Amino acid sequence: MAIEFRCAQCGKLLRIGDDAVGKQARCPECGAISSVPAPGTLPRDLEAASEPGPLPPSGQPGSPFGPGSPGPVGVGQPNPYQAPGQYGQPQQQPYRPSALLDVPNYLVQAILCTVFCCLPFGIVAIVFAAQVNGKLAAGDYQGAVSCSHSARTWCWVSFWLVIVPIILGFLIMLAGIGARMG
Amino acid sequence: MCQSPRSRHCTLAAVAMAVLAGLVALFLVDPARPTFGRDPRSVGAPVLFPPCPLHALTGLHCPGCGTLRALHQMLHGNLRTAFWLNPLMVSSLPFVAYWCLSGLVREVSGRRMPRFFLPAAWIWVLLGVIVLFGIARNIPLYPLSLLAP
Repeated sequence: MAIEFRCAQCGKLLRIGDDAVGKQARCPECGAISSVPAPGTLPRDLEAASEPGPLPPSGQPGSPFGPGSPGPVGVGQPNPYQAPGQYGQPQQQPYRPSALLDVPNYLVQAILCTVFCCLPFGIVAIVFAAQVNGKLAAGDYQGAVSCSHSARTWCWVSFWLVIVPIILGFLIMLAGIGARMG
Repeated sequence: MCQSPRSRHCTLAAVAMAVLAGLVALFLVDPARPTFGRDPRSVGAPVLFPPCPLHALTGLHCPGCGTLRALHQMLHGNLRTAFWLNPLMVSSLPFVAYWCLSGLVREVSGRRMPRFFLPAAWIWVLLGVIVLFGIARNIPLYPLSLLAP
């Protein structure tokens, strides 16, 4: 279940997973930092007093140099068909990602692994990195986090599979020099 | 990944030092003249840059082939030579540099530099470009042969 609350500074409707209670979060609109409140603990004017609008189409990049996330979070338009001040249970909606918690996609690391470590595992990592962003845009926060972990794992696999032989080879070569000199 | 800021900074410092050491080595040694496998005492340069395993086994050029040589040329100011050794890597360097810079700024000062959220479709295209580049540079026909280091 998600927590909805309004930014104390600009009033933008924000939505975040309820595992984020108590954490610091940044409003994508004005950048103000606030703590994520437990549901039902905020004064009434900061509660999500209205239903957020329909889910915007996924895949839109939003403004190029925004806070690093697309529009899907927090539409914030009051629903004209619901009386103001009424804050019933929000309908069951597809879980929308929060712009406030960064899910790293490890794309740059994956690309570096593909380029420097001639193995195909870098490509696997890039595939997962693409899935992170795709799932974030589609609203699948949990899926994005798990893909993020997979991308990171494959980056490490790729890295160690190349670095270990290099170090071993280097040590063997040094041993060879030492043996010849000694 | 909930590391403490202290351990993150230690990791960052270690990585930065490794990268710096690598750049110094790249400046001094030209990977185009590898001495791997030969007696290092008979050659002036130390054996530092192992060959690409894929290239050693099959003779093919992976998308990263030429990266180290290109970096060496760039450190010596030959941008043009560097570009033709690995066009993809050289053109991606500004983006990698920006990513490093924004990560560093975020660690040191906590401020976030603007970052572009890359839609998944763009990442798939990027993957396609990398794979196609890896295939195209192995085709000996002109003009694709220009892509080979």
